[in-house]
Order: sequence, then C-alpha cells, then structure tokens
Amino acid sequence: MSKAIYFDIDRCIGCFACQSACKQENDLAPHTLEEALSQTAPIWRRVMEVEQGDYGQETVSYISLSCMHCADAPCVIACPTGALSRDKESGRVVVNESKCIGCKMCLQACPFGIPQYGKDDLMQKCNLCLDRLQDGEAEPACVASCPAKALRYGDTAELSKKEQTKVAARLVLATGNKYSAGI
Amino acid sequence: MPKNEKICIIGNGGAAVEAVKALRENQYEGEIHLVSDSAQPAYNPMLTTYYVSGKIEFEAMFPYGCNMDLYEQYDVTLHLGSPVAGLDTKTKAVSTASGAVYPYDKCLVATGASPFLPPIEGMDRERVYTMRTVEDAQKLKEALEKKPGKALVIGASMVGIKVVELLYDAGAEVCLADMAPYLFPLAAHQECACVIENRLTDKGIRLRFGAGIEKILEADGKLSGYFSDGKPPEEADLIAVCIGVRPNLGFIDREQIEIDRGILVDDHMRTSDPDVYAAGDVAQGMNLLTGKKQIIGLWPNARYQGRTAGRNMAGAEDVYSGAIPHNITHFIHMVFSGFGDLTSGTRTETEERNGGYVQRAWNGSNLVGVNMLDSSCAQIGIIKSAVEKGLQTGTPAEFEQLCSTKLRDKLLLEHFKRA
Repeated sequence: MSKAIYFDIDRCIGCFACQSACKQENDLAPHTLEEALSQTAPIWRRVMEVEQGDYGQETVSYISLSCMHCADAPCVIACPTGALSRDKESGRVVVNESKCIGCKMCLQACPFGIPQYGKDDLMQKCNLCLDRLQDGEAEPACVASCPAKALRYGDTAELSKKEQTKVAARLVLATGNKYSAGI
Repeated sequence: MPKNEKICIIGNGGAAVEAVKALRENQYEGEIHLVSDSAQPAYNPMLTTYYVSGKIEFEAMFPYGCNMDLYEQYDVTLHLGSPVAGLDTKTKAVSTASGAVYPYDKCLVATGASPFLPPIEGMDRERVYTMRTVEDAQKLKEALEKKPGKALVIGASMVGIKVVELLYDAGAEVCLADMAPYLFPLAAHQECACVIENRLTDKGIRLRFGAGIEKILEADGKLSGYFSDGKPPEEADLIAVCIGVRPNLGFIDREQIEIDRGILVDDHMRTSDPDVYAAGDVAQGMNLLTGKKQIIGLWPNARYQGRTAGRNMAGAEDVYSGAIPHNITHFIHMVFSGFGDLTSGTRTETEERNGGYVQRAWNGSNLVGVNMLDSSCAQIGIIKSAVEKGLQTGTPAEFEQLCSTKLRDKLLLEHFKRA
C-alpha cells in the first residue's frame, strides 16, 4: 500500500524536532557551522524559515522538507546506473548504494535539492524510515516526533479527494509532468 | 489496440528500453521487434569511463541488467547483431544489412549516436581511440594497462575531460587539444573555463586550444598529431578523439523522413511520418531555452523521449515538451555543473563563496545559464527545474529571485501554501 508523509505549513511551529529525530533515527552526525553553510554533511529532513510580506507586515513560516518520493521522480530517470528506483507497492524512492557512482545527476534533476552526499560521495536521502517501519513502528521518526501534527503519515488512497488534488498539484508543479501522482 | 499489431524498434539504448516498458505498461499487447547492430543488452555510454577507471565492474555499464531478462519480461522479439540498412515508410518495413525484412505498423528509431571522426589522414590508426561503446571502453582499458607515456586527447568535451582524467591517473603525460578557444565550449562560460584550465595546467596537463587536428602520422613507434596552427606536432603513444558525436541515421531516406542534424520530432516524438517515431541521441527535439529543435544527447532526455514515444505508440497520449542542455561531471578533484546557454545572454555575473565558483548568464531579466564549479552545487536542481518550469508554462517566475538565497524558500513556499 502506497503511503506518504504530508506536511501542513499552517501547523508547523518550527521546533526542529523532526530534523533532530531524523538525524537520530538515521545515524546522521550533527552539522558544524561550516558544513551547514556549504551543505556538505548529509541531512535528510531540513526545517527552513521563510519570511513573507513587506516591511512592517512580515510573517514567518516554516517548511519541513524531505524527499517527496515523487510518483514520476526525475531523479530515477536521471540516474545513469539504475541505483535509484521507485517501489510501486510502497511508493518509496530508494537508492541502492552498491550501484551509486556519486555522479550527482540526481542532484541536477531534483527540484527540491534533496540528494545528499556523505564522505563516501554516494547519494543518500530519506527512505521513509524503511528499517524503522520494518521493526514494527507505525510512523517515520519525523512524524512521530512532531508535536504540532504538521507532519502526517498516511495511505494515499485514504486521503480526501481535495487533499489528493492538492498533493497532486504540488507534484505536478515539482516535476512538470502530468503523470505525477498517477492522475 | 489490436493484438496483431507490429511495432519495430531500431536501436537498443536507454530510449529503446524506455519505449518497450512504456508500451507494455500501457497495455500494448502486439508484437515488439527490436533490431540493433549491438549484440548486448542496453548500456549507458556515460558509464564507459567509470568502467575504464575501475570504479565500476563491466556488468554495471548495463543499467537494466547485464542479461536479457528484461526483454523476456516485456516479451520483446530480439534481432541483435543485425545492423539496419533501410527504413521504407511506403512499404512500412525495416530491412537489415543481412537481408531480413521486418514489417511494422509503427516504428521507433532510437539508434543513438557515434563518435565523430574528422575525415583526415590517420584517424584509422591502431592507437587512435574513441569513447562511446562498451567495446571502446574495453580497448582503452587494455591500452591503459600498457602504461602509455604520452597521450593526446582531442576534444575538450565532457567525454574528453573524463578521458584526460583516466590518462592522468594512469600516469601519462597528457595534452588536451580543441579547435575551440577554451574548455567545454558548449557548456561553460569562458571565465569559468579559464578557472578550470588553470587548475589543469597546475596539474601538469598541457592545453592546446584554438587549432584543429589536420593529420595523424606514425613514425618510429610514435604518433604525431599535426594541428592547423602550424606549430610543432604533438607526439603521443595514444590519441583519444572526443570531439563529439553524430546521430546514427545513415539508413534513413531523407525524402521520406525529415532530417536536420537529427531526425526532427514533435512533442509526441513523432517524425514527419505519422507512423515513425524517434527518440534519444538520434532525435532532434525541442530545446526549451531557444525554442528551436536541437539534439540534446543526455541520458535522462533519451529516457523521457523513449517513454513518450512508447506511450504514444501504445495509444496513451503523452507529451514531452523538451529539455535544456545540462551537465554535471567531476574530474581531477573538481566538480563542474552547468545548464543552459552561457554565451548569448546580455550579461553574466560571478560569485565566489564557500570555496565555490558560480557564474550566471542573464538575457534581460531571464536566467538562461548557470555554471557551478566546486561549490556543493546544492541548488543546481532547484534552479534548473524553476527555469524549465518557467519555460514550459510560459510564465517565468520572478527570475530576479533566482539568484538570491530566497530562491529555495520562495519556490518551496509555493509548493506548500494552502490552496
């Protein structure tokens, strides 16, 4: 059954719990300032601060971003070796590290800047907590840690029609392809 | 679609395989005949240099598997090792050099491209190499095991620089030559190219730009490359020609199918003949940036085009609006990434930060090209996608935003804000 993580910008309070939980769950070391600036240490889920509006009228929002597991993922098409693939059953876009050559074609293809490269130069990213869920947990670590319920993990088929349309619109925007999200 | 329908695919690369997959995934139940000069499963030419360097095994050059399982799974009738000699749209049949004839209802030409060898003396000499096919890779790998002392690489292309790296790592004294005045003439701005050139020179790699190769002579066991600048020839034990590629379309009748540099295709990958499609490095589809048709020889482009052709041949209408040229490559401890056109805009700007070099080209208020060197290249995909989307929809987002650090935030906000 295909499942995905949904993010509600109106509920996010920017507490960074999801970012920390993701790092703990996936054994990712904390950034130094230098690594954060040059984006050279892997981070699978990132919280970003976004300011909007004019002077005197600013509002601040937060976006918690990780791999979108696009239905028609540009990274999968761009990958020259077949290291990246999308599992139709689960909806996961996964990387097979033994096939990755670190060429960064996926980085040039991803509209969200998701692909990360470790010290081994191989690509790594969110796998929707594959190990954690196989161990019997109900939700990915980021979702479980979210105190504001801004992140939600659910079955794509159980979403309301309205939500599906909204999600699909995002993906179409992201991948520029009407085959996204299977509509 | 009737079961007795016949589809013939000429070629066996990424575009051909994606077409096969798309046909079957869209309920095409008729016959699929795949005719190719190659006797191997589909390989990716980009991986050949990785194999020569020893970074990947031989089998890994075949991204769909180093066996015929995939073709069996998708019920493809293979005619491998049989070069195609003709395609006749009147009788609707493909004929091979060995005399076999395969009739079709719909045909896909996905024959790819071959290295361009200038018609000059000496190109056929034994130690003159190209880099495109699995066989090319095997030959160069063997040659490197003999430890060539001096090597000449002709063509400062994306392939050329990878071959330079292979030779440099094998301990050879390397000279890189090109008719163009600077490195990566199609992908880089001259200023960015200059930064790379200086680093190559520091590593002891000699550059010889602005002169074309005129002949290759052989004497006393040494090859000599003579250039149009009339200066002393370049001596070498090994010469690699990486000038570029040309589409494989010698069997196409220009009276029947419209050809410019490649086979002209529309956004359905259809050629001027309604029952003939083309995809991959042989096809000349849309460059979104220029609005003109251009061969964009990239692995993802070939796969998208092949998939679009397959869907349309199966009757599931699909459109592929085009691509913009882009590259990302690493060599000799450098990472270079670029997209678009760096030369014909109205102004460029450069920025050096965090040890990286970024150059952007603008045409008025529109971003038309980016070069990144050694930065983490973290934003390259975001920027490229934003530019592509702007071109596809005809509504360029606020391009002034593209160079600011607000870019990612702004674009992402649009994805998530409440409908």
